[in-house]
Amino acid sequence: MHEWALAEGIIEALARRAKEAGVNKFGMLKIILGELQQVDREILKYALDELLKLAKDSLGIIVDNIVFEEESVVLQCSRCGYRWRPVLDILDESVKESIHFIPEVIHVYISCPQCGSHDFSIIGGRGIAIEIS
Amino acid sequence: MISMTVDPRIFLASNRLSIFKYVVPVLSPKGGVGKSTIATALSLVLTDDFETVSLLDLDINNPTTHIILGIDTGSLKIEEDKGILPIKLFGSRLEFMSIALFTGDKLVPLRGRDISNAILEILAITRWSGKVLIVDTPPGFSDEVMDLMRIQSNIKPLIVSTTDKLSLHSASRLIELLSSEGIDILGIVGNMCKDDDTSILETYLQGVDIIACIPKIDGFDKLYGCIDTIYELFKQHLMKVVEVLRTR
Repeated sequence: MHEWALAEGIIEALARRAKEAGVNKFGMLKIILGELQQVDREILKYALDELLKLAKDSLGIIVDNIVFEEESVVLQCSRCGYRWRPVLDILDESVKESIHFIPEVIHVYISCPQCGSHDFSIIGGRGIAIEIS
Repeated sequence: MISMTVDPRIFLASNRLSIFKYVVPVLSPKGGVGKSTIATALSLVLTDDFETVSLLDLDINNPTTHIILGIDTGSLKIEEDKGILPIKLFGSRLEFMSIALFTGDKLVPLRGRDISNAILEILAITRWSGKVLIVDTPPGFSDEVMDLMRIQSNIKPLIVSTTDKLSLHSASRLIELLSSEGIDILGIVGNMCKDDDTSILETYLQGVDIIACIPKIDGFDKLYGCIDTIYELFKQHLMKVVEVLRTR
């Protein structure tokens, strides 16, 4: 599962932050999930819980609270400036899967609804980011 | 503690690449010198010395290595296991990853920031198993190469050049840049060479070893997909690259 790889990355980020800051206990881990990558929140949560148990045993890392926040995907055409929210549900399953793995490949499959250009930016809701506090 | 926003993929990508003893980007600022051919052939030849060799096509806009390998991207199903698994080829001795596996073999129109994000994603989620990673790169020295170097600083680039003056000039510039950053250049492979071309390469590209001088192979595109033949054709030329790599 791709979500396991993302969870591994989150744990690695926590471990490095713990080392840098010299602390093992974190009050909150906020996980921002961009709509475009279509990460399965439940699988990610399960993977995180499992990996956090291991991180607690091996590194003493403790996270008091995990919060998920979802961010809508917004695209903006670099040619005509049009800004829009794409409807992902209408895409083929195989295309959605490809976007799940590498969100940038959306440039191959859709274009600006106003001018037809493939030259657009993902200005929000791309993938995963975390805030540690 | 101060709250901070982190991109977890950077750490994951760094971990994924840390399994490799050697990371060899195949570079040339000039297009059309045969980087993809050399990268593919080298990865095949390296299977003589390494149990598993990993090959990554990092040309994000216009990947072509899969065509040389004869991979039909439409018929493949990407396997997942806590990440994505590279495609196994050549009796499972070669493992391969490319954005082409996700794009239906179409051109990928991306700008710099999106290219960097795509590279980071590929490096973060691909679960390699080899000890040596050969990286095919696009012409130039831009996001693809610089992002790779940002995540994995310990690289040993192999430079490809023909004896065309523009190619030699471009390779010379690249050597100057890499040397100024203290990067350990593995050497130079001359491609599409004639008999006396080694001396031309030595004259123009001083300070870096000319490891091989490969002749032009007419009709090479007819061999795309015939990886056993490609391996046999290039083995005699690229064995020296393997020997040099072993000394580093």
